[in-house]
Amino acid sequence: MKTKQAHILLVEDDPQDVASTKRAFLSQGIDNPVHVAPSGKVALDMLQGRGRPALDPIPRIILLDLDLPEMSGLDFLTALRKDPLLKACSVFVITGQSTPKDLLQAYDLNVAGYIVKPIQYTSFVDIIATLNSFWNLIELPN
Amino acid sequence: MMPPEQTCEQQLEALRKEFEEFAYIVSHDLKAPLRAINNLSAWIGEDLGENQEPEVQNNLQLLQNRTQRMERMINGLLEYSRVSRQDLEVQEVSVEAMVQRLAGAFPQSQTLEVHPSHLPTFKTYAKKLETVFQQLLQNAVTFNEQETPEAWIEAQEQADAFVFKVRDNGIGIPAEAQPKVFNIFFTVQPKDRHETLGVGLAITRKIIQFVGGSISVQSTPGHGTDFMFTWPKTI
Repeated sequence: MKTKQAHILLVEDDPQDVASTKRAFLSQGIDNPVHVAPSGKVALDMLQGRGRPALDPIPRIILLDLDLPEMSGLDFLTALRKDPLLKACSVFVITGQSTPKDLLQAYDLNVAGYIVKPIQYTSFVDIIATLNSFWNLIELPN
Repeated sequence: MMPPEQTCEQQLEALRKEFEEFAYIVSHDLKAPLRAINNLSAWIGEDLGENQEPEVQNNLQLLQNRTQRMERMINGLLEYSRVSRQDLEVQEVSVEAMVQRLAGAFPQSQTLEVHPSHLPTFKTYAKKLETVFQQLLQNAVTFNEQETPEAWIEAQEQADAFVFKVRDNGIGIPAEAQPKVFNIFFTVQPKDRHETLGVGLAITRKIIQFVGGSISVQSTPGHGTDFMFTWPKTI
């Protein structure tokens, strides 16, 4: 599948960071459909169709904050990897924290990358631009 | 009734937990709003477009600079709080080789000529001692207006400790500022002159206190600064 059409799921509870991501996407001309979930639980509900129709197509790229209400990012990731339909999703952790323990746990759960949110907006735009060129390089499953 | 006595391990565990929480608050909870402020000011700049009033543009730039400075302060605070927890590997270290290596690692714009003499080789918290020398040498070269910044490093052996002295030919520290240089976020120079944070010497003193030593400073403005510190021979 061409990554250009891939749906993206952003799991992020801070509205300011959601706005940053959307703005950075806009500035880089990234027009993939973006879905937003404010917690790990809502993200899982959206993917698995609990209490609502499941997202279709399945977002093959997930941008995940770790510090989330209800269900933490790592718990979400654990559940995702157990689901046969979802375990192939590419997950990029984009978070404000980086303890060595979080980092190791995330890579143990096969994340495609672990990024610490920079303070500067311009650095964040650079990160999104790099991710975008990476996504355009790789093939994703249907 | 007396509260049940905690074992050392329980106290240590409680302290460790408290520290983890503190570090988390500092690194995560304080940085999130700072990131928002930086982002919002960048967007205001973007939305105003190219034709901004020079004063508005300047103020936005100042706002961004200050948020970046605050980020560095938060990182400094975090590093300060980690002194008693990290870099605890004990290794044999040649202080002379260490000093030469540190001086060699400065960028071209900041070369420092070092003159080590009578420096010991001993087993200690190698990384911590390196941080101390790194900081003192960094200060020697940063606060220096000589054509060739120089530092003289020597050691005296006492019964249980070494007394290290780092002397430089820098600008020196005014007498009234000398008692405060080890305080966190204290800077002698106005902040627009040197982009220094006032974290380095605070960390230096905390490390030296952690190993059971002490540090003092003597300086004559215009004639350089002497830092003297004791460091135990065995850890």
